[in-house]
Amino acid sequence: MASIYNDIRAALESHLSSVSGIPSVAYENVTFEPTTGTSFLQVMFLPVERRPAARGLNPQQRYQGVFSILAHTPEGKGPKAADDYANILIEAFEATTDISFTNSDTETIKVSIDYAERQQGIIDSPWYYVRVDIGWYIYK
Amino acid sequence: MVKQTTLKVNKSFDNKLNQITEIAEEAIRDRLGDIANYTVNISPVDTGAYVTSFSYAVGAGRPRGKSSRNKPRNQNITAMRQEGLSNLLSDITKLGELKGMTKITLRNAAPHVEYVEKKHSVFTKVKSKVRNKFGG
Repeated sequence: MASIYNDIRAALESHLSSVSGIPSVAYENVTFEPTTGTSFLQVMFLPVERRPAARGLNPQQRYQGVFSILAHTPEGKGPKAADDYANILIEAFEATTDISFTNSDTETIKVSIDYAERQQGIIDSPWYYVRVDIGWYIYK
Repeated sequence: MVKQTTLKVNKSFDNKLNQITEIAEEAIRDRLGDIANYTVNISPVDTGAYVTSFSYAVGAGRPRGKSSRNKPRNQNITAMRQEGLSNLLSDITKLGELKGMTKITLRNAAPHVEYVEKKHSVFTKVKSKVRNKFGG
């Protein structure tokens, strides 16, 4: 069912909200005014593929994509804060982690984490940000 | 006195090996073409500088990198993507023999590449697709 994407996003965002030691989160298409000098995370849900996992009629589908989290910290204060956030996020979404989520129809899905990796820090004034990419997949 | 032993390679066996190499190279080129097609199709187009700045490289060399500065905006999306795809397909043709090659890199050297990546996650999506579909 196509609404699986809502559940996958909810699973990943719920898991993120349960992580301690992270700043405020700017979710997609939700008004968020970052305060200069205050760190925040920006999330992006990127579905990439939906392919039959088996042959035959009505096959199970494999969905996969990336949950990107950009850890923004104030510019000019060094990389440590962003590095620390990246470390927390990688640990929270470590490869082979399974994230369960129960939707409003009491149906439970399990999103599996394929990989969690970070990119180099980049300045985007007045921020310095580090991108953490979390590869996910689910068979449904 | 010299002792020696000679292993004779059947000519048809040699031909078969060459044929297998050719088939494998063709499959790799097809995959590179698929990646190129996917990449340009998920790339945003405004001036066209970004989508026409992709290149495939096997080593050092100057990658394509166009600036969007002073370029007219709202360009034809299909035409720009087609130009970007043609660039990459031309690179694939120029790769030469693939035997012994350990990596082929997809690059974009447009000055605003980081800005585009932050907003559109083009490389992030390509990497995700390559990882599974193309056996990366």
